Amino acid sequence: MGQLKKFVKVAVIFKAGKITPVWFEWNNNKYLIDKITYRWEERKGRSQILYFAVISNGELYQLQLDTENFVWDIKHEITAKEDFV
Amino acid sequence: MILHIDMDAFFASVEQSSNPDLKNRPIAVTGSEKRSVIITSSYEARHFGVKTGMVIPEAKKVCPHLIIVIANFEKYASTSKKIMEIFKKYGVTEVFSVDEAFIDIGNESPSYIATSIKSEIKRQFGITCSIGVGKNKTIAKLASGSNKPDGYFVADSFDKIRDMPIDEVCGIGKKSSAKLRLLSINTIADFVNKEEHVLKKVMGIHGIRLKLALLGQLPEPVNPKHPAPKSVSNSMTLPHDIWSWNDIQRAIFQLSEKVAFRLRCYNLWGKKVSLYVRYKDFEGFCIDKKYYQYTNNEQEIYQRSLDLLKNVRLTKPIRLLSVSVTELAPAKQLSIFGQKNTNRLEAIDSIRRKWGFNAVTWGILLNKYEHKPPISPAWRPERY
Repeated sequence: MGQLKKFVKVAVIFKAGKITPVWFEWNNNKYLIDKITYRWEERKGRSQILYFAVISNGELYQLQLDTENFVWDIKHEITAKEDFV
Repeated sequence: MILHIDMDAFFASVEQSSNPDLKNRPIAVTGSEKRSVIITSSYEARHFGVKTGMVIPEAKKVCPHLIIVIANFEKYASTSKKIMEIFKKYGVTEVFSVDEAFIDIGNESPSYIATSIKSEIKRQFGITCSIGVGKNKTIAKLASGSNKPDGYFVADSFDKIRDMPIDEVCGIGKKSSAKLRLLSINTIADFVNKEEHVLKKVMGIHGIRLKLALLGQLPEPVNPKHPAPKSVSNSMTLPHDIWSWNDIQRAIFQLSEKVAFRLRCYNLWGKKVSLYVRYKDFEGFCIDKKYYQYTNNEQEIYQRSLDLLKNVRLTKPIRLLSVSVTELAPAKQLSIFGQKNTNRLEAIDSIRRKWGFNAVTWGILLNKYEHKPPISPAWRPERY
């Protein structure tokens, strides 16, 4: 599993108290979110972090929002396909 | 009626739901990539013989194409909390562990509630659960385990459970089960038909209680307030084998700190301290001592653990350490600390409750170990 941490710009819809990311810009590319596969949250010190596992173009990404400062972060999940070789 | 809901291969299912590439594939969830054991595995992996507790090379041997996924305990805890909130809509709920709960549904229709719960969990999280229905908790739990995964089983009469093997009953461990089998008690029917004095001899008063429970004659009410724990322990597989006395001391202090904090969260004191040491070759030993004075102070637990270890000659590098405190008593029965000490610990605990456990720690532990302990079976949403 590989991890790349970069700043990311995320467009979201706020509806009925729920945040739904719809696209994000990262490394000068725009990614449309095809599916949110999972949501969860974690308390880190004074911050509440919201996590979203999302699929864009068949790739899995993990977006995370720090609700303390509204900063988004991203992790590109490379799945363990190599284990099948 | 009582419902018992048991999430199917919970951690593995959450990972498969998060990452579609893992769906229908044999995956195993572990604490870390190298020095850890299998915490749980998907049903696809279990089919090949992958079992909880196996080390990774052992699991890869039986299932060469096994995918290892590093556990994300925050993800599981967050999911568990939300699932428990769903359960609470249907009746009084007792959280039994991170992935199990009992619900007292009164006279409501169990099939309607079970269908509603299953579909809501599937819709929100993309995972499945198995639900058992019974007159009491023992029968409901037995029923949920009889038809996994994604099962539903109503044990509304004794005939439905009579032929089940005795070791499937919650409360009958490996040792008791072996003893019962020696007496030709193999099924639940064999168990309840046995004379009470025999069951009492093998399992004590618990044997008689269990017989009544299996016959549906013991009510076992669902209790939303958890009973106080009988022991508090924390263990740690170290990032690398340790041998120096400084490293050992530091690791023990880290464990003592966590145990002490959890004791104080429960408002409990304990007087027996146990230390378990596992060497790098997986051999291990446990030492314990009962002290006159109760404690829930990390420095005291640490000092007692070190005293235990000072009487032992360590022969090999250490892979895992565990500190436990047992023989617990509630705070109101005791008054052993000076006001100054109590205030300091209360200040530390209040910071941790507000900002998380790692918000404050002792200087000796700073930048030493980044350890995220796995969720213990006793984990509850409101527990530590």
